[in-house]
Amino acid sequence: MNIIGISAFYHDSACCLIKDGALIAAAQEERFSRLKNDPGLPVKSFKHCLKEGKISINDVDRIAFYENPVKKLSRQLWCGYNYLDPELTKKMDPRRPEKEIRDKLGYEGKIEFVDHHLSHAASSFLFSGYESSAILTVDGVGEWATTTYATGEQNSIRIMEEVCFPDSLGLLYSAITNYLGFNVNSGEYKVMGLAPYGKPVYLDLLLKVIKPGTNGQFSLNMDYFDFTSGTRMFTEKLEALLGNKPRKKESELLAFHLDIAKSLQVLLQDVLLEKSKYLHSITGKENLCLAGGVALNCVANGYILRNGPFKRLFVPPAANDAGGAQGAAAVVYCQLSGKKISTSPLKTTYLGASFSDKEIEIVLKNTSLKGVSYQGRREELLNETAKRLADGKVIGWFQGRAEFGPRALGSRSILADPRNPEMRDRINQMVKKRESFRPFAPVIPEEKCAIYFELDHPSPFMLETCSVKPFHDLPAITHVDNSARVQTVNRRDNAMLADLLSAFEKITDCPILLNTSFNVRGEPIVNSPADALICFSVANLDALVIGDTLIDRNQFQIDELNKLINCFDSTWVPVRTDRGVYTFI
Amino acid sequence: MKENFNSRKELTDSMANAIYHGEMSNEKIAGLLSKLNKDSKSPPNREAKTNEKKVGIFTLRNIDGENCFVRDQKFKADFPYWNKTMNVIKEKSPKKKRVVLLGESVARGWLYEPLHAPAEVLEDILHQHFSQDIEVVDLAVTSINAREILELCEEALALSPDAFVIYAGNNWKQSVIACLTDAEGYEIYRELVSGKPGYAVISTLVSKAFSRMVDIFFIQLKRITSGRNLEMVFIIPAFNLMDFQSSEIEKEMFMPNLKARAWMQARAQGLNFLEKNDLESLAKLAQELIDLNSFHSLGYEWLAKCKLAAGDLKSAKKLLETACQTAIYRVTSTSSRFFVGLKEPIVKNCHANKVHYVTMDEVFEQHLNGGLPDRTLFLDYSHLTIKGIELSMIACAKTLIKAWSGAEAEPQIDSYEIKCDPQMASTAHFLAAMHNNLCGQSFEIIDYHCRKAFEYDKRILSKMNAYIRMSLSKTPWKINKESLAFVGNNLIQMGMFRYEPHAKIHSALLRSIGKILRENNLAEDLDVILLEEHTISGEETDLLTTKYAADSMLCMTELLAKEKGFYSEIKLESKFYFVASFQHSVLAKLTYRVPGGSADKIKLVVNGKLQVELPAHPKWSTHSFDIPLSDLQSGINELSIHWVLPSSGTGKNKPMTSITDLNEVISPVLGEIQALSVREEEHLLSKPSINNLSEVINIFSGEEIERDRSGDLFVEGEELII
Repeated sequence: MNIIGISAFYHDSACCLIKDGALIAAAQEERFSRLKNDPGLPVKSFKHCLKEGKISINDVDRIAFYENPVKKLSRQLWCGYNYLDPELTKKMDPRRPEKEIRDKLGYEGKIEFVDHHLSHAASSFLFSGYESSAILTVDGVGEWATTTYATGEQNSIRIMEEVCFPDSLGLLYSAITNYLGFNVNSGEYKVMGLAPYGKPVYLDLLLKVIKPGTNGQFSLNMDYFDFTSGTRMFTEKLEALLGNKPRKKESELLAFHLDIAKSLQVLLQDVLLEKSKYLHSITGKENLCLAGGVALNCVANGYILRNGPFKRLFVPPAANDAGGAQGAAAVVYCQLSGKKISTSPLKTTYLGASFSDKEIEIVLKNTSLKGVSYQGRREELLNETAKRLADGKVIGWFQGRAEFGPRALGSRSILADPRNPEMRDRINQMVKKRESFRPFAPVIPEEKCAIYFELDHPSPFMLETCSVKPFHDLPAITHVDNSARVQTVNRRDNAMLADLLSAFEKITDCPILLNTSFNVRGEPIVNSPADALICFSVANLDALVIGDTLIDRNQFQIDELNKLINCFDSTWVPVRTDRGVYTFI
Repeated sequence: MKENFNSRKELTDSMANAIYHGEMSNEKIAGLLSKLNKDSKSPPNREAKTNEKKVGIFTLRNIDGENCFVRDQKFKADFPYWNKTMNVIKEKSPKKKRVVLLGESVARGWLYEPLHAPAEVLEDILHQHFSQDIEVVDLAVTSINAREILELCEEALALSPDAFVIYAGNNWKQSVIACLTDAEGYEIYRELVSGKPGYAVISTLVSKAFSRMVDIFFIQLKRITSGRNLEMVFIIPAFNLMDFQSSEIEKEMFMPNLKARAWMQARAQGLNFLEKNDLESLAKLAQELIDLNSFHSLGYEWLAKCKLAAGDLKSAKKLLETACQTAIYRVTSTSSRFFVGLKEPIVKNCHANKVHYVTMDEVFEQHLNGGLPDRTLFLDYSHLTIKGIELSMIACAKTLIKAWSGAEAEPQIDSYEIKCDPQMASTAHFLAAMHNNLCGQSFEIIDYHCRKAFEYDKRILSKMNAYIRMSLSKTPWKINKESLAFVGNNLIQMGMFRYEPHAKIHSALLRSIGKILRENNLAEDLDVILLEEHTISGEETDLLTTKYAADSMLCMTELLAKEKGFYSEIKLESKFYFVASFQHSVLAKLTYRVPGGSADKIKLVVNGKLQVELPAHPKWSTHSFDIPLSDLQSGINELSIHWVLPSSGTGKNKPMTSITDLNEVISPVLGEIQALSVREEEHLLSKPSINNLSEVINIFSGEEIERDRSGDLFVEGEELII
């Protein structure tokens, strides 16, 4: 049985394939289209899924769409959007998902629509490996729900309570993110990274914008917010409350902004902790599954696990809307087959595109770059790579299938020595060309994690933070509050990366590497060998390990390549959206 | 509060349901929206308009006390479409007259600029008459449409012009179509699905749309320029009637009706007459084609060929103009062009509004002593050669001189053809070859431009060599070291390189370049590159990528315009190429469907040899088949799928909801391919292998792929020669 899952027309569109109960392919459209947060129908990802599944379109038994377009339209009408405006009619048309799936993908079979938050819940619980669990989903908004409380048993999910739009923790976080001068839908994680630099001195003020409710409920004071208008996120009243004008994009970050970020983060964590306690009280479960865009807030995830009543926590790697595709497909598979997902617990997120060494070689040989092939000499390649890392080099790492979800977990990564105190600034400024405050994550062999971090369980998807243990000097991956967003790895799931860590440890006695996504600011993570070569060239990386080839930076070769890249880029600027409001439609 | 929320939600829930089920009229929706008691929202993210004064990409700045319009970096994305060297437009000197040239890529001098631009030629000519007391400001913009020209005219008033020269009309197709009302669109739709021969109603409506569009343009122009002491010259473009052919899609049958089969049979017969050079029979048959479908170019083109052969240039010109105009009846994209139907309304409006005009077809006709415009004046469909630019600007200058001084002048200038930079001319012709290739033009015209490029400057060989290697390579051009040959040369239109995916492994351009390189002993390793990069040995190769699909950019743009996940074909034959090593048989896999279905069967053919006939199912079905070694050839092989004609007019029973629905009637999809792949089956070794690659193929000899033309498969033929 082949079930395709699709999320689209909002942001982070994606497609996945569940084949006979196993999640075997999943990818975000942005990786192929190279348009960050591509919201369109995932046409290229769909083709990727068919290819990976070795199936044709007539082998697809169902397409599952990750939300209910009629309910969503109701919410949009509620907001006052003029459905008769031709521009909006096209976007809001509740038949659009089905029409585009038929017209653009050519799919002739049955399409199932799964509610947005049920898709989120399923993306977590049905892949958690838990027989039974409480489920909490929190995001900006789906159709109406913004937060849901549910339980999962075997292969079914029951939603017990939901908080409805416009009361939304996700939108609260997005609105303040916007106030702090960052883009909605992408800047939230920057605010999370900024928070440890501040003090929660504005917590009391922020508590005025959200009112506690009974049970799982809460409500926003809409005097402070204007996101229902679709033109701005917050009102002047919020500015008056916080006592300052919103920060202009790219302007200096002041102590005030750091304190607001911290206050917001604390507020979010406190509300989530309180609501998770409530969820525990009504379910009595030991396990918690989290999903929704807010579940990508790994600081909050770690906080509620450490301080809350649940013993175990599962967060899927694509907890955001992209993961909705995965959840919707899983719901439909379980309904049709009566079985459970066989790839549960989800062990790997390497579900995207892969390229053979031959394909890499063909692309590389016609560029100005020269590499050394280590075909059949993997150990040597790893030793050479480890040597460079130990020498303080920053390395692009392109191996195997691309990750699904927003985190690079060792397939499309930039790696570096975490012990180097200057490494964070160097990578932020020279390589990724992004804000200097943003932290980096460590990757460590699963079995050694407890030696360095206050973490007693695997964290393969980098979705929770913990403290770095005393006496370990890892400045490049330790945040200002001594926290780290750890990824654990084992040989079964990623032998190449695990062996690289061993090789690095042999030289340095340190089994940890800094791991960040292989992209520059504003670009999707690289997908193809060509993307990797371009990023390697523009990002000032010292070396690139691509398949079995190692390329050291040679300035002349890079200059030649950059000449081309600049020339082509200057004649064709792809359209990008710079989000200042939440994209409802 | 909660109660209010719930009642509002109940209302929107029921509205959403009704909208989903199509059970609510727009009037009802409007009523309920207002009942929701909230202002309807505008779409988000709309850019706020600023009051900053600008002229296109130039913004008003004060530099050393002088108000200048300066190239503004915020419009950087548009820079490639504008004059590349003009950074500042200074305040007009009271001593000088200022002419502002507005227009499209033709007025930009596309493929020669920035080294040679019509504005500079015009200024040069005017200087002869007015000494240095005149200047021409070049505001021509590639791809600009009618509305944008008017906007630019309005902005350009800030430059205090004494004259506007507008050289436009090639990009007006969409503006004409937009002038059709919904009611007219519906009338056209009804006429089309009725299958009536002649389609007289449509012809009348389109003529009206031509006039209406031009009237609106001139009303706006008058509004913008009223009260100004401005001379205005409108240059009415011409079309390369002799040397620009219909593209593959344009050659195909469209607007199917009950006469479709008769039309196809007549075409097949016509091809036979063509082959035998039986022009008398061809003329009769061409008229038959026109009677069956007056909106198809083929009948006019064949009849024009007959008239040309008989020396009747006047009739041939009229027929070729009509053939060119048939593109208006295709709602989908086509190369930009000037429609003869626009000429009369423009002339009428020029008279009515005291606008001077120059008709380029008459200028060219005079230059050619009654001959038809051809490759000596055009690089492609409408972009001019150096001679073409020279003639157009002389005509314009004469008009301005007469307007200002009342004198009939006959400017004497040295031929720009003689004094031009050979490297510039060479590059322009090579780019013209590339562009004609993208437009699906014949090998003959593409080869002409390649050889012209070589004739002007032999150094072009290095660019040709780089281009063929880039095209054969799988490495994207953006990082392909061969692309360096084109970087840093401001003549190269890098915008053209965005069509990189349309660089195929087999095309008329590669054949021409390959032939020239071979003649100059520069093509020895191309076969090896081709085999190495595109081997299908043991690897499933997706033929639906543009690299292997035969269609030109123009066709592909049309086919892929909707960003579909599958290939939609509106021609009767889909062609693909793949590279075989000639050592093993090939396994091909196809997933396809035929919208509407048919009792006839589709045919899969490799190098002209029928492989399999498959049912024309309306639902997707997948088939695999072996292509035996005996049907393959070493190097590039051609796989084609022959679709079937729909049994009845498409869309007949569907209500028309918008003007774009006309597409379905005008260009019905004949077949769709969701997947098409080939792989060499290594286990099926059926012939001794050839180890020496140099023995394997000789693909760049300029020859067409060998095809078995026996049997009745090709009875319909596929080459049109006018």
